[in-house]
Formats: sequence, C-alpha cells, structure tokens
Amino acid sequence: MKKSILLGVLMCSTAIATSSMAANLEVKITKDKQYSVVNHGAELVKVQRIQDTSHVIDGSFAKTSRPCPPFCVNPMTVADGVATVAELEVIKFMETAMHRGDGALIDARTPSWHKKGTIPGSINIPFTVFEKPVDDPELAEVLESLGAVERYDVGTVTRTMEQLGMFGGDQKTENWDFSNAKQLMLWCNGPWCGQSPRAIRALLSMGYPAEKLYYYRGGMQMWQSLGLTTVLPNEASEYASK
Amino acid sequence: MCPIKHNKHLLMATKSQFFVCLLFTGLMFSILPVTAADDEYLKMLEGEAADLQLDNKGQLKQEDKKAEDSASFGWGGELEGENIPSGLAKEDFESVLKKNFYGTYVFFKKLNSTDKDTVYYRYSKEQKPDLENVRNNIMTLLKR
Repeated sequence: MKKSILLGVLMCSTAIATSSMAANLEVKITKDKQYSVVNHGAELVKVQRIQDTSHVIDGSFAKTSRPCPPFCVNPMTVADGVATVAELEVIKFMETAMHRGDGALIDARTPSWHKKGTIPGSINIPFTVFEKPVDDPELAEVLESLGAVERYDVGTVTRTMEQLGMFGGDQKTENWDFSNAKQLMLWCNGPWCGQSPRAIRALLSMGYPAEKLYYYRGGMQMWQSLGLTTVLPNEASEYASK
Repeated sequence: MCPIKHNKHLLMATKSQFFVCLLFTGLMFSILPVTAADDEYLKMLEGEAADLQLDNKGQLKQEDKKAEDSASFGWGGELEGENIPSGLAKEDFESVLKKNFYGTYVFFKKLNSTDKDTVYYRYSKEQKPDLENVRNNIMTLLKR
C-alpha cells in the first residue's frame, strides 16, 4: 500500500516537473517569458525568438549603411510627451492594450515595406496618410477607426472653456475629440527610419494627445536582430495600405 | 485729372502688383523644395523597399501556423472546429479553455491542482492536441 502511494506521488511529481519543462525554449524573450501570443487579425500568433543559436541575421536588415539624408539616425525622443519604447514594452502592449482593444500597433511604413513582412498584430497605416490635409476623408476615416470622434460646430464658449482645461479640453480640438482614442504604438524600419517619427509628428499636429502615443524606435531592425517572429500581412493588417 | 497724380496712382498699383508677385513667387519657392524633397524621400523609400528581403527564419508561414496550432481562432470564443493550439504555456492553456471551451473549463476548474497539472502535462505531450482527449482526461480524473 505504502509502495503504491509512494509510486503515485513520484509519478505526479515527475508529471509536474516535466510539464513545467514541456515548452521550455532555449532562447526565451526574458528569463521568465518564453513567448507571447498575440492577435493578428482573426488569428492567434505565437511571438517568440528564433531557436537556432547559430543563426545570424540575413536579408536587408543586416545592412548597416544607407544614404543620410534621408536615412539618418533618429534621436531617442521623437517629441515631448511621447514615450520611446523597446521590445518588451511592445510585447506588453500587445498583451494588454491591444488585447483589451484600446491600443493599436501601427506599422507606419509605406505598403511596399509592409507587404514583405510585419510585426504580428500590426496594422499598416502609412505615415503619408497621417500627413494628409485635416479635411481629407481618408484621414478622417483612419482617425475614426482609431477611436477619435469628429466634431462639428463647436460653440465659441464651449471651445474657450475647453481651452481653459474644462470638459476634458486637453483631449479635444475644434475638429476632433480624442477622449476615447486608442493608445498608438508606432514603428517603422528602425533607428534610421523617419516614417514613424513623421507619423507621430503629424498626429500631434492634429491634436492627438502625446500621452497616447508611443514610439518603438528599434522597429523592424531590432525586432529582426532579436530573432522575433514576423508575419506576412493579412487583410486585417492592410487596413489603410490600399 | 492731374496727370502727375494719375501717374502716381499707376505707379503705386504697379508697385503693389510687383510685391504680390514677389510674395507669390517666394511662397512657391518655399513650398516647392518641401514637395520635391518629399517626392525624393518617397522615391528613395520605394527604391529601398524594392530590394527588401526580410530574414525569413523568424517569419511565420501560413502552413506553419496551420500545422502548429490551427490558429484560426480569436480570443472571443469563436474557435473554428475542435482544435486547441499546441505548445501553449499552462496559463495560456487555461485561458484558451476558459475563453473558447467554457464547458470544458468548468469541469477543469473542479480538478485539484495535481490533476490540473496532469491534464496539462498530457496535453503538452500531444503533437497535435485534440480537445476530445483533453475532455476525456478531465472527466476521467474527475470520476476517479
């Protein structure tokens, strides 16, 4: 009897020990995180690092030098109030804000870059769309998809009070209410890429609150350097790249 | 009408026309380089993109996704078919059960922690996990 109990305990403890090692990757994201699962359109995609420890980066992101200008090194901070983030914050953002639906990861590159591969969960809104005139219908459509609400005929008194900081005026402009706008994390090709900084500056100029904007400066260059998963775009990620 | 005064008016009109023209030309010249630079930037971007090749080792292919986890399901419970993704960590396994197979999850929740670990362990050993097996395991352990 004692023997069988002992055997049972032993089997259970082996099962537990093995289960904790079952998906044990050699190349983890952090000591405690092996991978993350992210929504990419209607699919769930596992984001992890390349497991081949002898692998070296291949392709265009192995390139070190491009003409500057225009491909110059960007400063760490793109604009006041806009936080610069790195890979772990991107993954955290995928797991929290994007999962809840109040955040969007934006591939701000032109469609020709996006279609070759992107970071899972990203939607492609090229910087050129954000730089369109404020009354452009495509820009309006994009802003609405990001949770901004277009405003019409705002009274002078209301606007004046908003400008004094009342009625959540810091989230509103004469044309847009950004109170329920999503948090946006924008990225492009890396520290030498000007596309996401331009998108961020354009968003700020139309009144998008700086605290809702994040700049992933490392972009595709760093994402690839760390061997993190990329995906080919699907319909959902090509929202504004037509 | 005094001819001198008339000429003065004419001179002033010509002068103001000249200034408007000058202003307009200045404005044109100040806008043009920006547009031209933008065009040039876009042209260079497109040039770089044309040769772009990503390191494909980390790129998830469509067939990998299908083979790996029958990934065509969302968090909202609209899982197509009875497949459960493979290689999930224990927390994700529980989360997928809860969000997509709530009925199964209700029984899973009744198990003690050792039995939960056993269910997860058996799931993790399957190459192509089958929800039916997960359910059977849960029920067997519950009935024990």
